[in-house]
Amino acid sequence: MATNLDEQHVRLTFSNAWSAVKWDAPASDPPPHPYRDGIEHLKGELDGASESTKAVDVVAVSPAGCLYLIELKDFRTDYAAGGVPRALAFGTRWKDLPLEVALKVRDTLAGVCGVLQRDSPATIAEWIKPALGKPVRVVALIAQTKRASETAAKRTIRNDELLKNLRRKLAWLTENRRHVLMLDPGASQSFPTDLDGLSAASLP
Amino acid sequence: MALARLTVQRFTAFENAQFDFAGGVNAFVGVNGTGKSHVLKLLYVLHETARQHRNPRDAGGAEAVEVILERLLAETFRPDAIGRLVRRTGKGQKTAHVEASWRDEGGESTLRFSLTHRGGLKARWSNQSPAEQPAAFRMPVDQPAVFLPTREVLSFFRGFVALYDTYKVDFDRTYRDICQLLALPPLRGARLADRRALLEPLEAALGGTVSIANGGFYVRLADGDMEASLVAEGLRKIAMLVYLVVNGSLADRSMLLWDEPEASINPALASLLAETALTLASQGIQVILATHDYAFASELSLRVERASEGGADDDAHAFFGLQRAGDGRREVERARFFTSLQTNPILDALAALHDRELAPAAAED
Repeated sequence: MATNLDEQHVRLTFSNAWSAVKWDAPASDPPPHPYRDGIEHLKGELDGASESTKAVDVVAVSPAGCLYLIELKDFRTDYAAGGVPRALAFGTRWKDLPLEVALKVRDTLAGVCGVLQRDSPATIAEWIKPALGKPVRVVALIAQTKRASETAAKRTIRNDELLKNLRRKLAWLTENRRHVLMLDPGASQSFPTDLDGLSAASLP
Repeated sequence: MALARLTVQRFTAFENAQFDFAGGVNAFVGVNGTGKSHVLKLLYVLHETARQHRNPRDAGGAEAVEVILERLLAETFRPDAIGRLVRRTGKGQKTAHVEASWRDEGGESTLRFSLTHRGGLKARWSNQSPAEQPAAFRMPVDQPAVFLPTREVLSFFRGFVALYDTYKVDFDRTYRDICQLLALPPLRGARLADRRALLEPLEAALGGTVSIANGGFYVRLADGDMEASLVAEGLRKIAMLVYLVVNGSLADRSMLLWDEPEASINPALASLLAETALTLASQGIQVILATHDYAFASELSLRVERASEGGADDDAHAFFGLQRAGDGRREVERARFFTSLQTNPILDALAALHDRELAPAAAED
């Protein structure tokens, strides 16, 4: 059976060949809450500064048995919320995005180790275990509004730069360019074959 | 032998740095003033010292290594006095130490020199061979290094070597030496035919071939010859490359030191430049270059990554990031790919540009 996971205004649908969980599911969602019941408890103050952990949106294992960490950022202006255009937030945070995603990957991998170590929830540990020993893949899904003032070439360069900076921040994990992907789930582009069985659709 | 390692202490911008070179293409990135061009020039001096000092065990009849080294340091870096090349921090006498090692399966040869801030220069060779082989000294290099400066030289080539050798002119030695290499006649027959695969894309970008006549360069276009000085500056740089391939200067066992390949050249040719660097490396030429260009660095890295995915030697090529530390020292980072470099001012600059572009643009959309 396919798994639907909603994040912001995007629905990710995983075919039944995938296993997937909303890693940072809020307490209001039905269980499991692997992040909130796990590594999120690691927090406190150190030298007067607050310390905590971060989490990607989705952890999944592909039909090929590879562990995927998926982060979604929805910056479309037509989904502006709270009176603040998302594109403005997107613009002001452009430089920070690669580091933000990379830190979430770091903490999620630590959280995954915790789940496996404690075997809790056992259902998640069961389908993650076979992925151990295979390269970890990271997918950043960045939904953007096409800006009237921006040419397609400019947008390509901007996205290429973001992907390169994301790869740079994840070089400690993998230097394989195929293991770090950046896609726009709102654009009419097909996902690479490694992601067969995964689709994205906008929610109303 | 290929250059394997360079260590520098208190030399120009460098307090203490080590570079472990790959046998293929080595690319430096760093903001202005981090020492990229100084490394290229120092490598040129060391390579040419090694080549010109043909008989290290018998100084009779040959110039002492210090004499060659002093001349090359002075003419390549052009300081008021060579002691100025010693990094000055704090009080007291300072001495720079530089060591370059060339390596192959038969062993390792090392050239070391020390230089005081008063100009005192001492140099010596050492040699290491595998235990099972007798320790016979071998010169590490026999082909001239090719130093391609940021500017082209075809437009002032005519008579430049004689001018340089006769008068004091405000050009460093690399300009003289590249002109001397360009003065060599073209190869003929099979030796030139072997280079067709490298030449064809360069000549296609140039729109013609390169010839030398009456002491000057011409680009032979479909509608006739054109003086090099009338050709666009970026194309003159391509023409230099073409002719250095045509006359065999860029040949097996040589070293190409390439300062900002992209300077004056449209980013549309970044792919060609990257392909050329890697093709030269595949033909046995060690390439060491410095770049500020996003397109060129990306094209180069993409090819290296694809080769790695195809099973090529992971250590065949290398990227180096240079940065200035808070106390003024230079720090060196080595990585397999452009995107693996944490010291990456090219990516930082582009991200900062997009940051600025997006913030005001959001209000318009």
